[in-house]
Amino acid sequence: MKRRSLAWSAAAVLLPFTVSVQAATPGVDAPPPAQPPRPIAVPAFEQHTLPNGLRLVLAPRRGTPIVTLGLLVRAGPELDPAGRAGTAAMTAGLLTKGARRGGRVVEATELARQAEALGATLDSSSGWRSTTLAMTVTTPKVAAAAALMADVLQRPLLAADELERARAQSLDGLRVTLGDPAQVAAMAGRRAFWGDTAYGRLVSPGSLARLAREDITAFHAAWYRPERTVLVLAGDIESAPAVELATRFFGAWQPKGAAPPQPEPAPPAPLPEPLLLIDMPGSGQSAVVVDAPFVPTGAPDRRIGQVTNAVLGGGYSARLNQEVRIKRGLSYGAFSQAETHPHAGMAHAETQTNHPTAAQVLQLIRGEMLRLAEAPPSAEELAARQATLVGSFARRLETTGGLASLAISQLVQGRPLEELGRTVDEVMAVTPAQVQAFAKTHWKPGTLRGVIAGDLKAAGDALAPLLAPDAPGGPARRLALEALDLDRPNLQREAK
Amino acid sequence: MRLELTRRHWLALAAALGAGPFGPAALAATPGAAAPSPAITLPPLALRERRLANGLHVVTVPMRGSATASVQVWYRVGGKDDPPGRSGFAHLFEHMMFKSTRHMPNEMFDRLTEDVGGNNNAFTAEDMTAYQNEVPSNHLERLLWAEAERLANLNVDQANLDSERAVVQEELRERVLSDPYGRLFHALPGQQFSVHPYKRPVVGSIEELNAATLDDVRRFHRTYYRPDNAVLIVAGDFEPAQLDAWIDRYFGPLQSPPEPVPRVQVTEPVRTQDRRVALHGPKVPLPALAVLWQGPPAAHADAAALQVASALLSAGDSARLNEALVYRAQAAQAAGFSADLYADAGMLAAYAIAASKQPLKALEAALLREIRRLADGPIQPAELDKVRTQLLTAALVSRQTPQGQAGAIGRAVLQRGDPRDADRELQRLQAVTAADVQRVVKAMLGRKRVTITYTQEPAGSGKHPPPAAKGASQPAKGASSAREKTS
Repeated sequence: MKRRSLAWSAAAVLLPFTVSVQAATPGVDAPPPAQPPRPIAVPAFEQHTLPNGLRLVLAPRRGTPIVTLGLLVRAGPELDPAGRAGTAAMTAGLLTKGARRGGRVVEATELARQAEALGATLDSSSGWRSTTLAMTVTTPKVAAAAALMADVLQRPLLAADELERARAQSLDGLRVTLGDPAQVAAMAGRRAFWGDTAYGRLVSPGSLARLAREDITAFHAAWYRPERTVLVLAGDIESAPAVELATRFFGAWQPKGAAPPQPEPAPPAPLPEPLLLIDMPGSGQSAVVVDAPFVPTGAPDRRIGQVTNAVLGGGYSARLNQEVRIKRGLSYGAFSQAETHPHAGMAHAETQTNHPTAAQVLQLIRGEMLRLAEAPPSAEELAARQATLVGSFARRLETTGGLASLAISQLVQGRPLEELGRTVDEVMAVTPAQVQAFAKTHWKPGTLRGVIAGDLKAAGDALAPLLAPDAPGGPARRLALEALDLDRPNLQREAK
Repeated sequence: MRLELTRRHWLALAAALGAGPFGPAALAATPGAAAPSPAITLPPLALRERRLANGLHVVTVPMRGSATASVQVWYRVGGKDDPPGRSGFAHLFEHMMFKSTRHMPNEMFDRLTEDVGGNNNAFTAEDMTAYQNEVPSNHLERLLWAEAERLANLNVDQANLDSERAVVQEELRERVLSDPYGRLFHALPGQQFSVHPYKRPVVGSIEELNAATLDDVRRFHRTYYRPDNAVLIVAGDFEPAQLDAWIDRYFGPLQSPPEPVPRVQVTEPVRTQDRRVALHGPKVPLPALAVLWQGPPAAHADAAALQVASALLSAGDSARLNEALVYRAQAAQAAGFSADLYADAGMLAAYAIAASKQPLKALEAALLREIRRLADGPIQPAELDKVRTQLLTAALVSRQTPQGQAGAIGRAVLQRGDPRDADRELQRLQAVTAADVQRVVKAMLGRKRVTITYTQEPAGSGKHPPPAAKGASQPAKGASSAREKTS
């Protein structure tokens, strides 16, 4: 029974034609060989620009009589005015809470009924540099959906009573958020990494309370403009009717005046401490977060960065989950993701664990990030992570929603849509040495910021060394949840 | 900013605030649809059925234009089959199926799926355990070999059992103890069922998970993991004759033991009185409440009407509970209704999380008032049409992918005994009338109910064990809710 041993691993699986001397019999005591791969067909995205500057992107996909409609406005929380964190998100949320349609006021409940009568919820969302509206409907409903989305985007009521309602719900939502260690740790990690800059701002009870209707209407007037808007239609629709639809519902939209100047984003200004410990007595688990530098959207090594993140924590078998879950059973899962912006980026790793193992898990995550500079992936490890990236990309091409979201995220990144046709080749071209060099360049001990949020008392003595004055990189800062103030640059409530 | 943890099993315990089983996901949970407009109909699944000599039920659906194949094996074993004193065992066992076999090392499934651009997952629900793989179609044959291998040749060892037990316990902490409303949803089955094993949580309890032994694992595999207790579903890009030959080659030689598969033979008695239960948690951001009624089993003729009732009450922003309680009255932060119909019995649940400063008592009254209004008040044709369109659209969306088609088939076979019922269920949903909805909701309201309130525990009560329920019909640790999350 020792014939195969541990060497039975990725090499033999991924390269079934390089038969090893101790080969088993494929299809009997080893998997049969794979068939030749099928090509991945990226559809050609068709693009049009209306005279008012609004762009139309068309991603055909036949077979199922449905279409996903996506509307992207290039404006997000990075444009929130100072002291008004939440403006962009609140504006996006209020879009679906009433609009003027055909000269008539349609309030929130009726609007929701109209949308859902088309078969889909009208979703609005807000992200960095993006406000999006999306619906997936059957083909006979496409024109009605486009009409509805056009009204909601161009003629929202942004009513004062809806703002009050949404404010009350958001405040309740924040209470729930602040009871969840995972969300508390993610927010604190964001501030620890970006500091008091646009990308480090957090929506707080205070900033929510300050939002006035004028903030919302001003944001809408300033940034919701045809030349900042893209309509994406993915699915069973032809070019000519798509252009006709876009012209009919968006062609008459005229921008008011000139666009305001776009503020230059500031580079990350991390908090001084390497680690924040947030005490949440009675919480069921501890959340552990590590945030680290990443490259901006236009960086030549952004694809290398994407693959590097995949090696670190982009999948079940990636290094973080291997160490934290598979080898040690310390968590249900540990993963990482990366966000890129025009001026900078952030890699973000997170997991949840039992309180006494939080310090151990933090060291494991930090350790894996730093180890990548010394231990590049083997060819097999890299090939597996590349395949994961390519596979999930290919599956997004198989649904209308996936296609629309691929196009939108590419546009939000400011990257050309043609690049999607090169994505697979670019991912596959990354080498182990490039991954190692990326990690070495960007992930250094002093640049990592960590957070543990949980019941610190239940964690026992394990946290003590992290708080000691001689802790590597400096001592952690301890913060009670009651003393957490999301509005303060360093998150610490001012002493009374 | 939450990362997706979609790996390995979903056992979706209720998440809070509408993301949970009572929220919009409830719509996705019904694979059903109807054709309100003559312009669009759902083409029937192009499925083919076979039964191998060893009893394995095989359902295949070719999908042209896809470069992906979905390989799924659904077993007729679930949380209700947990051995006595071993609640959570079926789910823990599911984790063991990703460990080594005679011819595969630990986590080989990840090599065969994720590492070649596919993915794998599994879930354990009350009546079933499903293993779901999706791969580039040139890897299809390899997955068939591997699924047959772990059905026939699972290895177990103490180290793997210990490490997966630890993972499952972290999962329980994450979903139940750490989630602000995890303890409430964990408690529902224990309050709903008095004698049927559905009363135990699928995710189990820390203590009973600790009791599981290697012998339990071996016995469970031998008892339930056999060809005649499984359904193999393949959907996507394949050549039918070649697929049949592969299935014959890898699954054909497997044997089913002669003894029959043991089945739970317990009938849950009709509830004879209303009950109230006060649950407390250490960190309850806003008080919440759930009302439970007994419901019919999944194959019951009323199932479609209950699904439509559930959609009228809680699918989308314009659904009645959201519109009345969250939007107009602003009494609730979230509100919903679900009809969870299992093989042997059903659980109908209405729930709400209070908005700030809103008393639970008034919220409870408002919740019941809305449900009564559905039973007694008018249901406009446009409202019913809306629900039909929502269900049709959801079915079309999910059936775009091999994984979605295979999942619809799996649920139809496991819950209603026939893969073709995936399409027939859509027709039944289309045919539901307002009178049908009112009849089943009236019947529900005529039954006895359990009302559960969930509030912050009094200060100074110290330790935080899993929720202890006053008036619970079983040990507190058994109270839990673990449910299938649908794709």
